Amino acid sequence: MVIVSGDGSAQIPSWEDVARDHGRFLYTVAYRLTGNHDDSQDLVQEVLLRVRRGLATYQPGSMEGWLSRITTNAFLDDVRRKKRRPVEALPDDAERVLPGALPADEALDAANLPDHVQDAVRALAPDYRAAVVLCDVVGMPYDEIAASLGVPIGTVRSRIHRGRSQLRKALA
Amino acid sequence: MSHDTADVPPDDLGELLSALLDGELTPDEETRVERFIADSPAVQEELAAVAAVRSLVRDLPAVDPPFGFYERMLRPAGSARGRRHTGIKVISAVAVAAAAFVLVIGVTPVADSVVPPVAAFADRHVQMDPTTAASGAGPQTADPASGDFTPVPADELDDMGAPAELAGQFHRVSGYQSGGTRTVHLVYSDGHVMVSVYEQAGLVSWDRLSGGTMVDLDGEPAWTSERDQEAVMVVERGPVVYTVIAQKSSASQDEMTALAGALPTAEDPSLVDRAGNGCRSVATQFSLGLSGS
Repeated sequence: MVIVSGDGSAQIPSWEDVARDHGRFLYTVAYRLTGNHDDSQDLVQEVLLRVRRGLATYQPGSMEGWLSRITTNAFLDDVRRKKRRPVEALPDDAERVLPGALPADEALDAANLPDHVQDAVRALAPDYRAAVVLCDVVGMPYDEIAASLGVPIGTVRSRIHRGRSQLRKALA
Repeated sequence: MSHDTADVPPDDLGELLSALLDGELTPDEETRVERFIADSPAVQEELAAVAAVRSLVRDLPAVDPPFGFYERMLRPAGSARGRRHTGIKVISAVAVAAAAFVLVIGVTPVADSVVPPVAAFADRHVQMDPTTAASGAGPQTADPASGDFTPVPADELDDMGAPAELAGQFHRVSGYQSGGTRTVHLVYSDGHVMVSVYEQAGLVSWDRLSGGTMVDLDGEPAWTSERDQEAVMVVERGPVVYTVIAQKSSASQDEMTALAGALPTAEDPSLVDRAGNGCRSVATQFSLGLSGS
């Protein structure tokens, strides 16, 4: 058991502060993870309930990192609960990225619409999607992603790579 | 520049290039992969392709929530014209929680903001006679502040899902219900130590609990305090607030933590709220602590 705070509540932001100062960021992360507004709103509500419960033990630091961690875990919890989309491993040869690699200019031409990119992100397996969103949308370093997802850092590296490989194929 | 291709297994190259772009390689890995890049046009092309996809995701714009999304959640329940609907939704939510372990929630009109009356609970606990608690006898001295508790038969406690055992050693010996304070009082004992567990429907107003210490209980907030001869711990599980009280000379902090950790978690109301548009339900739970609309 770790003592977090005594009467230092002045350092703890209120729920209103979180919604006001980080609402757009939170919604963006939720949308990138879920890919649609309905699920995003559900996810944000779930996150804010968790935030409300967790504010008492929030330690001043990166609020957006903390929110991202809660959002991603809430998203993955929901995915597992609903079993909407079982995680599918890529074929063994998926990491052999050199053969058939899409040239950079072609990739850009093929996917210059954000909706197209978002659709490709949404098509990723949830575990890959979470890693890619935390890395490329949130800008979180690998060690923090590993801590957020509760997986080794090597797994994070692999998931990001595989996620990006799938994105390239989807956007080809 | 020449190199031994065995230095970088082909299966790892993609990961290395991706991690290189993210600045996540060790110096040794970076040296190895940069040699490959310098020597191979195919690898250079691969790196550019990975960078392009990475940029596409990174350049995605921020997404605004629908107009009024947060405002609806922040609106105090009392000011919402749909208050009746809010109550119905919360009752639906707590009905699920009741299946887990709730006596009082079923009659609770809304999920409430709870400040456990620790002193009154502790007084009631102290007044419990261990020798008669098993028979359902209440405190030896009536105390209005403790609420109008009435005994609940064991079979009804079972039906309501009240745990028969906590932490593998404390067995439930009696239970009481207070309609007035919407509280359930369960008494447990291991044969030597008597423990009271008070349950209230709602969410804790942590900032209104004074004199104690906030602690992290396996990732969940908890509040601990010592009062006279009693150790007190308040935890929140789903839409349920538990106050655990034991004589501090008998129950160590670890035992209190184990007891609190053994308390069941009710279904999160948000899961139920999702069946409908649950914004107001969330607002209900939050807005009780808000000052304005």
